[in-house]
Amino acid sequence: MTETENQRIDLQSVFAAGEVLVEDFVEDLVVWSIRQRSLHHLDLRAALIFDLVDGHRPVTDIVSALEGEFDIDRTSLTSDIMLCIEHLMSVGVIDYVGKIPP
Amino acid sequence: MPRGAIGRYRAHEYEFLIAESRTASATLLLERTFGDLQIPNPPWSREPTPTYLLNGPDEGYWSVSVDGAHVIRGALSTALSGLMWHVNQQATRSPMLTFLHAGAVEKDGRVVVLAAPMESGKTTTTTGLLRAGWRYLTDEAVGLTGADGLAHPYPKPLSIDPGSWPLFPDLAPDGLEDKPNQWLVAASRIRSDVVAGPGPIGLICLPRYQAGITTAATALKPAELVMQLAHSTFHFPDGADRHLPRLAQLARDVPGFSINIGDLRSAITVIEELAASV
Repeated sequence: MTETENQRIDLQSVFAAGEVLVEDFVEDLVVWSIRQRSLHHLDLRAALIFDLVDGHRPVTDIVSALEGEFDIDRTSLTSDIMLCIEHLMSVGVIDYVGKIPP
Repeated sequence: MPRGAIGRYRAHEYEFLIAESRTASATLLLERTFGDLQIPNPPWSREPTPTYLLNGPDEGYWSVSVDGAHVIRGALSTALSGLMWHVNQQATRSPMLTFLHAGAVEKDGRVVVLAAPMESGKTTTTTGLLRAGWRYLTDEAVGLTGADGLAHPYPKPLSIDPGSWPLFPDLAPDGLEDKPNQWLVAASRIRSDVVAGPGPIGLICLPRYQAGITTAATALKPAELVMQLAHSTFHFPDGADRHLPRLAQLARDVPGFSINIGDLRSAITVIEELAASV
């Protein structure tokens, strides 16, 4: 993604699964990015984020959904999720869709 | 068969002929080296079959061509290694199978796969297991089908690197006038009944040799195993839609272990204990 002002990732950003093949191993996933021809192992946290990325839910809702799943404060959790989303996007596992209206 | 052909051979689904050189000793060497891949000639003519021609010696050099196209020129051992390399390339191109860069052995109907990159100890461990009574599928490329879940053999000659020669001095090739960089040894030199047929996989090991370390196995989660197997799959990116589901199913069904190998004897012990426990 070419980062523009509109596409800068924030809590209102929405993402969807990219063009991928997925193998589910209950706790973690193995995902093949068709576009980038690369294979990725998603651990439990990344797999949960990937499952919640549905083309409609903004990042802030993903943070809320995962709050309580991990022994970590909301600020740190938000930071971790943003980093994970940026990584998954960079390797073609998820795609940026847009932002929900403020 | 065309004039001068020594025999018909199969490497997975790739059938080929090897044709006569000018010397009886080279012919004998070819027969000994590639004999485990030989198949009967069909009684009728079929589609044209790729034919490898070993030619020489010409001022001490041998050359290999396939259907007239140059493959390699060098000492006799170099020419044979080049022929083997070319066959390996062709053998792993079938779109029907998933090919793991792996050794494989069988005992009591269960196959142990040793998947790893080059220089990881695949052939040495495979040879050691054959010595311990296991049967041979391959030291290079295991074929997997999706439907039956079987490992398919490719009993090519064992490619034994110099570092392992002291472990198997009796397998030193004869009939070579030059010093080879690698021994190509038909597995049937170890035992006449050593070559196995297809079989279900019971255990996957990812060996990694490092001199001086203590041999130890570590269980892998299925997803970790898939990642490792994908890296060991020939042409994975070109057939990911077929290969990934096969590897995933394999990883769900079969336990996998990473094995750090310090020496051959302890590696054989660890692998046999794992095979007995699964």
